[in-house]
Amino acid sequence: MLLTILVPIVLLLGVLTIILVTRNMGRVRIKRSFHWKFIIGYLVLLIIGLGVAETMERKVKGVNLPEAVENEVGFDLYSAIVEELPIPDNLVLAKRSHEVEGEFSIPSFSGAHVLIKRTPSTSRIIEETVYSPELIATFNDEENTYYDLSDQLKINLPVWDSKSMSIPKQPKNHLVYTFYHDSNLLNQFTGEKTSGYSSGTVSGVMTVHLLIPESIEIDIPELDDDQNYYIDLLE
Amino acid sequence: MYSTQWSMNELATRQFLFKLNANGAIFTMLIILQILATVFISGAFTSTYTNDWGEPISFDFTSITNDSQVGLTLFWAFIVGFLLTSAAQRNESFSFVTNRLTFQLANFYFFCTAALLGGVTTVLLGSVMKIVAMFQDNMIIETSGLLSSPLDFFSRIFAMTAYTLLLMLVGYTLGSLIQWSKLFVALFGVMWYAFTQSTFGIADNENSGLLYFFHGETSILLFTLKIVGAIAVLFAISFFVTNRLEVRNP
Repeated sequence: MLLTILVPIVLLLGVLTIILVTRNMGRVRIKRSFHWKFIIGYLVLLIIGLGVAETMERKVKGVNLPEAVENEVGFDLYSAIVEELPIPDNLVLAKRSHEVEGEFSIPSFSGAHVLIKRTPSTSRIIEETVYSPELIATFNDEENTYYDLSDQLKINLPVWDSKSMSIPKQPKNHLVYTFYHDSNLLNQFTGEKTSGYSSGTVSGVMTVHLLIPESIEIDIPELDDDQNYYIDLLE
Repeated sequence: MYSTQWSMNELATRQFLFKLNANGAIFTMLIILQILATVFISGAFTSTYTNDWGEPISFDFTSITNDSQVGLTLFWAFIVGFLLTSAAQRNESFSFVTNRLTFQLANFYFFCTAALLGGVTTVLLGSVMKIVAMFQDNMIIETSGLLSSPLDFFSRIFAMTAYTLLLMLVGYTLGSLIQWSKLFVALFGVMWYAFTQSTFGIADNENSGLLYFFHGETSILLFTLKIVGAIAVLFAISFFVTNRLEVRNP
């Protein structure tokens, strides 16, 4: 409805403006040759622009987004850990071992998921595996292509001392991508039409999987939904 | 008897050159509109997505296109078509020893030249927008250039020229009909309403309507035939109408 009313008004205003400007241009007594010089100058500038763009396109390296493997999009990390299934390497951020003394504690934290599995061992070594959250983006839903931007995320790994593991405040992640594409009207025969739609999804948070020997006593905070932290003791 | 006998085409060409010379301001107007579109309506829009998991993760997807230049050029094309039906433009043609046919032919030549200029400049402006995009962070170019895909580049110029010419002829026919009878203003109001309702009014109507008839065509040959057909029909209507106008309509 808006289009039906607005466009004729804009067209009418445009017609009036252009008629008035064109008439006034006659009164201002702009030399006719001025227009042609102006047009030729403009065309020359555009051709120079084309040359610069073509050269820059070869010299400036754009971003090559890594395409996500279809069956790895939205990987169920939790189930894979519980059922001890293979986990894609790109999700593994760090694998470390830590020797602890006495009781092991985890202070309250936010923005992570900690999975603890007790192992029948008498050692003082805790095995830690940190998994990255999955960041998947789609830039053109028509092609149904997903890009894996997980490696773009900045993540602060857990900090360890001899008695505890604390999860630091995570850094702010602000990802910026700039796309250029010609109007779809121009790309009618090129097959380069774009929907202009883009979106990103982050599945999960940083996951810390700990293998703690049963000989080590643990002190973990009580689960509190309001504080947005998750600790699971796996069987 | 005259010592020099001019052919119809020669007369139309001379009249076209006169029109080209007299209407330089129209082309200057196109350039001004394109510069305004480039400077003030950069075509960039940003979509931000934020996921909050205790700590925010945000995306900015900035999309730069030459949509605004395309839109304003088509707008200019429509108005130029309309402008060439004004009484002043018609009366100018009587400075020549011509007839209605040469007058119409000269106008058609003028439209073809203007459409070509509109098509070429709009596509070339895309390169300028591309340069702007290349200075941004994490840039991704989704449109191939002249050297990497010359056929695609020229097909863009062809498509833009064809649409510009079509819009000019629509404006020209509309202007001719309104010059003939002011009653057509009301009729076009109704036609505009019907067009917008059939094209945009119904949800999931992407694959039907007048716009899809042209824009949905993927074969360049069929698209050319459709455009030529539409232009022939519009030109025939305006020729028919202007033949019925008074010689001088003050």
